[in-house]
Amino acid sequence: MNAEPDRHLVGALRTLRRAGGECPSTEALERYLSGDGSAQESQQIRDHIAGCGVCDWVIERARGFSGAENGSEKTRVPWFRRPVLAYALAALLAYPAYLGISDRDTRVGRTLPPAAAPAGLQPALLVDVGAVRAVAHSAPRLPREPDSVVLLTVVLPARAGVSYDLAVLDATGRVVADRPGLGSDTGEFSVALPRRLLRAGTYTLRVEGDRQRFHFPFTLAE
Amino acid sequence: MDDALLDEPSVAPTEDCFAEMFRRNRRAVLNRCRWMLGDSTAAEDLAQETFAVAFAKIHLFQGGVFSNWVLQIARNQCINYLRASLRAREAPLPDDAPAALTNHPADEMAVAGQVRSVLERLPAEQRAALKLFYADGYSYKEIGRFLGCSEKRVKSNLQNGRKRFRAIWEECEKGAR
Repeated sequence: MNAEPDRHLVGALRTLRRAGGECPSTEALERYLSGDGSAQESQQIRDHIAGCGVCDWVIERARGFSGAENGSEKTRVPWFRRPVLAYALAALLAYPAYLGISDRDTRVGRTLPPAAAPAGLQPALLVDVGAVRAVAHSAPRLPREPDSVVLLTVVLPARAGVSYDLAVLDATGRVVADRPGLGSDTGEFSVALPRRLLRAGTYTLRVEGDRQRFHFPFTLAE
Repeated sequence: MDDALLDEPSVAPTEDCFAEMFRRNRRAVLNRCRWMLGDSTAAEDLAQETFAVAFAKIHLFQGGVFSNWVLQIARNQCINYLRASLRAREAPLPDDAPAALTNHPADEMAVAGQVRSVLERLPAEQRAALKLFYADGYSYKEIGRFLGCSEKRVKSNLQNGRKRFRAIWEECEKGAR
């Protein structure tokens, strides 16, 4: 192993940290992120970030979500995907039944079939895989019922109108489940998985799209 | 109700108007906080805090898109929270690093510049871990809490970061010859 780059790395990081000075104020970072700061101030912040892990990470996380602001804007939806058409179609299909045009069983004294037992709500485990601080310390327990559902949710800096491919990988990298072509206006994604697909262990939720790839490791316990 | 209602500074936003804006933007603000903090509980708290600040400072809103304004407040709240989550260091570590390969300050800055450009090619999590560990001397535990990951992952980020740094560095050296 070549030690020379490591020596350069450690020495240079401390040089950069010293040269970068004190952390800029939140307002200065805000101006930098919004592109409203002067060229000189932006350069000072870039010089500071070069040696400061705190500001580097903070800016990385803050910058990542800039797309969410666009997400709150109104987006153009193709005419054939507008909800109003779905409602109109549903109304067209339901209308004949409402008018009694559809065949109806009018026999008197007909015995009704026994009512089906009300479908019980399947127990579900909700796992926020983006909540890494909480997950790192306590792995959520899988429900015992084999028919139950595990709902994974995550928030990431997704762009509205872009489709993303989600995949759940086990510790060996095998794809346990995938959901291609999902979109989100708010940056929030959810994947419902049957409990039977999962066992206690470490998994990764991989999200790909818009030339970006995110990995969210999470652990489940029995 | 439209965001444009708040576009005119002359229009004083009413409580009803603010309630509607809260309803519309709550999810976006909460998601911003969740992404930045990696902690749902803290994100809920900061999202509430964001709207409390927005309500208190609504007179400072200069018009424009309300959601952008409130998301900026959320971002600032998260930046403050993240910074406060690491105990403040008065000054960077004294330079007790292994002897540099050069003793000239100009050369030292030149090497630092090269290191900086290599670091920029590393994944953000590895880069941040390297800086926090080597430049500031934070422990694995402190870095893990800040980045929102386990100590094991911090160690892995440091190891992989160094490995990747070496690879890019050597690639650059070869290219320069």
